[in-house]
Amino acid sequence: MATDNAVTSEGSAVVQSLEETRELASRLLPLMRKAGSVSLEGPLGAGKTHLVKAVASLLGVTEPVSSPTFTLLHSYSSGAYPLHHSDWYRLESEGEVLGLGLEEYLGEGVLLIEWGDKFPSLLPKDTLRIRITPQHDESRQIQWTLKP
Amino acid sequence: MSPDSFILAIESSCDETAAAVLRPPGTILSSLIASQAEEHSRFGGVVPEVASRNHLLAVDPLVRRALAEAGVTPRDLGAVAATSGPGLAPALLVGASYAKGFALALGIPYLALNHLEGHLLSPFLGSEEIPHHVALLVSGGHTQLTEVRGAGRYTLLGRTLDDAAGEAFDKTAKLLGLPYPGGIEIDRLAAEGNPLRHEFPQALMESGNLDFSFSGLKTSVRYFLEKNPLLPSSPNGMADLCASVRHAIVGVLLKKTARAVEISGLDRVAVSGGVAANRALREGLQHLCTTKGWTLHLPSPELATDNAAMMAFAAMHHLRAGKQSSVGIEISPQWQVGGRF
Repeated sequence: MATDNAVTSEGSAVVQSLEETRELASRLLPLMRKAGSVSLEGPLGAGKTHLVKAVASLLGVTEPVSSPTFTLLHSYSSGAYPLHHSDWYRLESEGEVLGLGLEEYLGEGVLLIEWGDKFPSLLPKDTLRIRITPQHDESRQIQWTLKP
Repeated sequence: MSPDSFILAIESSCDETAAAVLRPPGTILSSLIASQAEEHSRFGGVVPEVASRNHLLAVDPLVRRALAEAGVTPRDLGAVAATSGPGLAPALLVGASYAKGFALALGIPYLALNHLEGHLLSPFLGSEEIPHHVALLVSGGHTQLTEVRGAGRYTLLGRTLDDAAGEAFDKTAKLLGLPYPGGIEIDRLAAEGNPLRHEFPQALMESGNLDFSFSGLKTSVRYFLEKNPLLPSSPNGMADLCASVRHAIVGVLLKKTARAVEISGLDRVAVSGGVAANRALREGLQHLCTTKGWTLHLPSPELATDNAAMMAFAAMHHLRAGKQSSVGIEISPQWQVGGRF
């Protein structure tokens, strides 16, 4: 039986605060785990890294979660399962994405990819796509899709 | 090995492959960087399979060029060093494996080094002793304050909890519509601007700790531009915006650095990393150190951004301390300073 908190493979919500982002992240977590890879999409300052921080905190990751924009990939092993955090913001060619060797990080835990929509054809199969759209009142609309 | 034997270092922690030859303690005989663009052009454009093996293709010709430019043969080398972390696993693996093979073939010591240690020591190139000081490391990928008690003795005092300072510069520049590399463009335009015209958030400024947070700045600039779309094109609009953004970032870096020095009871500051070239940061630190009577150490511009010469210098300090690495040691993509050393 589905509970009130369960999310389906497609949906949308509006969050007003970091606490609500965290609450939504906890509801999305089973879907992220099922997908294994997650693409986080939305403009600069939308709150993509905040969503990653919320996931890390829910998993019990103890290390500080900082942006991988320049360093390209961070991995955290102190949580309930491995969390890998990549960022394609700075990448300009498919070759650069392939050079990350992300296939090594699939199948164990969750791989979160910021700006994954820059190279949609290179996203792993069954990637959960999450789009964050800032609203004028500073709330965020968060939409997600996991194609079966 | 004589203490003055040449040291070859290879750095491949992220996008670029670099190689350098150092004659201890501080003569850089060669220091080269192979960019992705250079490699791509050799193969007539971007070929994905080629680009993914970019480091692999770059490292051998680069090392040969570095040795030739230095005027030394492999037989003249006393040690070979490579960056072992933190960084991207496939990239680190290429540099480290190549360096191990080189050291094994020559029967000389191999050193697996931390990229951040290379930055920390870069302002002291040529020094036999590293003085006790507070180090501000600021780049696109890293922002942290470290107490350095000497070569190999590091305590992390604080770090960014989200974006690095260099990233904050580049991403706000992007929001302002400035060309890449945006941090340098902000620094240039800010020279004519009023830093106090707009007040952008300086996160954690009044917190008791030495951590940083720069991600809120992007969001704040984003909403500011939505509310004031015509401001950037008004007279002095862009200059004032750039000066105000720079003031927000540099202000926190200066305040936390000063606090770190005071808490540690020291009188010496070093800054390293790509943002060490930022004019407002350099001038701010100079002013701070003059006022307080502290000594400031800055790296030369070519040592501030990622390079292999700083790794060769770090290698020299490891060798002088009698340290070397087993060729069996694996790369450490998550390796931080102040932790496992």
